[in-house]
Amino acid sequence: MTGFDRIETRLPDLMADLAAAKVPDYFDDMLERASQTRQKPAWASLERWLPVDITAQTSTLRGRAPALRPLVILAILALAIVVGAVLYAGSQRQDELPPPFGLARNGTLLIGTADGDIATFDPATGDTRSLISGPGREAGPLFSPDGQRFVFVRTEGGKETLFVSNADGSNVREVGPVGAGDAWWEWAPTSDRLVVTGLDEGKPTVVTILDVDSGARTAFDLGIAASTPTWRSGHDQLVFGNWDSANAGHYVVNADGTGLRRIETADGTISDLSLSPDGSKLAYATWGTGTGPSERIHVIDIDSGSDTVITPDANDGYLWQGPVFLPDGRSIVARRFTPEGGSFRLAVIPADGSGPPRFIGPERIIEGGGADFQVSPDGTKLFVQYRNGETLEPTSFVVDVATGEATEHQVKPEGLSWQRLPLTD
Amino acid sequence: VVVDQRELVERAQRGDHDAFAELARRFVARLDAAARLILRDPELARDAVQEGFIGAWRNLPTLRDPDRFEAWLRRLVFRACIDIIRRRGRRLIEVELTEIDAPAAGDLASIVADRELLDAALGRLRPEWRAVMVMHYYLGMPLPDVAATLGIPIGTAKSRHHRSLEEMRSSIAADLSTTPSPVAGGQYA
Repeated sequence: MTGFDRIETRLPDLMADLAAAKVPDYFDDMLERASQTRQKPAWASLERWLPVDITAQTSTLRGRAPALRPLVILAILALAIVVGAVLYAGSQRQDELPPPFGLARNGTLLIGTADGDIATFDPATGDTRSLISGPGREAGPLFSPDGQRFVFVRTEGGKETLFVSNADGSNVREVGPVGAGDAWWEWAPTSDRLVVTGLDEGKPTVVTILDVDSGARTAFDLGIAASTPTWRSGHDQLVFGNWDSANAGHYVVNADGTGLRRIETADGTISDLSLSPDGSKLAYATWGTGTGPSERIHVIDIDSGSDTVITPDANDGYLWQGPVFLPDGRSIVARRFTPEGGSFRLAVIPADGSGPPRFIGPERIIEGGGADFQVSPDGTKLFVQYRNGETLEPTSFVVDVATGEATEHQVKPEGLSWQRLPLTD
Repeated sequence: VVVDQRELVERAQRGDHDAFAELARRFVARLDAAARLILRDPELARDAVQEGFIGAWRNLPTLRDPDRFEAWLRRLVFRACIDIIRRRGRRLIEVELTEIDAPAAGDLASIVADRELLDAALGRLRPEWRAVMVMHYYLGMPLPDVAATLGIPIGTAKSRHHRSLEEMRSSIAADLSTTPSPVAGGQYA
C-alpha cells in the first residue's frame, strides 16, 4: 500500500469517485423556493406595526335632570351604575394589553442565540439571559401582538417544528411543523391565530390560518404564490407579495381568501411589504428599469392607488431598498446602498416625502452582504445587523432613532422580536 | 445561444429568475458534490446548498462585481456547510462503514479497498479540516482562495491542509495494521 505515502495525489480522483457531480434531484424545488423568495436576507421578521386610529368614544350622558318620579330616577341610577361598572371593568381589561396595532411600550427583547437557545437581550447593557434551552436548536422568536406569548422554531434531528411559549418562557408547547418552501408565519391581531404559508406540502399558493391553541386549520388556495402574508390594520384583510415573473407585485385579499386584487404598484417592485400603522398605505422599493442606479422608495395608498416617491431624485447615485414604517406612521426607515464601494446606511424619511432623508447609525462596507433591522415598539430604537459579504459575519448595533447614535453589541441573533406592552400614559 | 455569465448575473440582479436558474444550473452539481464530501450526509448537503443558493438570490442585488459571482456563491455554500457543522455542536458526523470485499493478498490494484480506506480517513477528519481538503483537492482551489472563502487566515488553511494529510496517513496506517484477514465470503470479520 505504498500508494498511500502520497495520498494527496489520489485525493482528487477519490473525491470525484465518492461524490459524483450531477444536478441534484432537489434542484427544481430549490429554484422554486428561490423564486418565491424576495431579494433580501430573511433572518429577521420585520417589525409588525401598528395603527394609530384608536377611535375616541364620547359619552352620551347629558347633565340635564328630568322631572321624573323617584322610582324611575332610582332605576336609571342603578342602570348607570351597572353600565359604568361594566365599562370600567372592560376598560381595565383593555389596559392590560396593548392594542394589536399602534405604538406600544418596549418590553423584553428576545433573540435566538448562536448556541441555539432563546434568550433575553438587554439593549442597554448588552446582557443576555437564556430563556429556553431545549433539546434541539431554538431560533426565530416572534412575539404575539399582545405581548403575552411568542412562537419559535425548534430544529431537532433535522426536523423543524413551531412551538409557542408564554412570554416568560413557561408553558412551551408544540404548534405544528414548519412548512416547506417559503415558509412564513405571522400572528393575527387577535394573538390566537397565525397566518402561515408552506404547510400544504409547500404549495406556495396556499395560505393557512392556524389556531395556536386548538391546532385547527383553515386553508385557502389563492391561485398565485403568496409570500409573507400580513394582516392589514383596520381591515379583515391580508396583504402579501408575489415574486413570480408574470405576477410580481403586492396583493390584498380578504382574510377568508376572497376578494383578491393587485395593488397597482410601480413597475419593478422588489421589496417586502411594509404596511403603515393604520393599514392604509404600503411602502415598497422598485428596481430601476433604465441604466444606472435608480432604485427608489414609494408609498402607495392601497385603496386609491395614489403613489408617491419619497426618496431623492433618481440621479442621486444611490440605491434605496427595504422601507419599514416607524410605529408612529409618520416616518419610514430605509436602506441606502452605495453601488461604488458597497456600503449600506440607514435613513429616516418622512412617509409623505415632505423632507430629505436623515441618516442614522454607522455606515458599513458590506458588499455582497446585507443589513436588517427591527424597530422597537415605541419607535425610538432600531436593532440593526450588518452582514459582511466577505465573511458573512453579522455585526449588531442598537441605533437611537432620534440621535442616530449607535452602540455595538457582540450578539449575533438568529431572529429577534420585541415584546409589545401597553403604553402607560 | 450562449449567454455570457456576467450578463446572467446582471439580469439575475434585476430580479430575473430565469437568469438565476441558468446560473444555478451551471454550479449546483459541483457544489452539491463538494457539500456531500464535507458534510458526508446528502440531506445536510442539500440543506447547505439550498441555503447558499437561496441566500445568493436574496443578496444578489448587493453584489458589486458580477464577475465575482462564482467565488461569492461558493463562499455562501461553504459558509452554510460550516454553519451546519457548528449547529451540530462540532460533533463529528458519523460515517457508516459498509461491508466491503477484501482485496486479494498482494493485489495492488485493489482500488475499491484503497478507496474505502481513504474515504474512512477523510471521514475521520474534523469537518472544518475536511472542508479545506475538499475545496483544495476536489474543486482545485488554491489554498489562499480556500482561506478567503472560509474566512480564515492563510496560515490556518495551510496548517489544516498539512495536518489533515498527516492525520489521514496515520489513520490509514492504523487501519492497515488492524485489518483482519479476510474470512470466508470476502468480508471483514
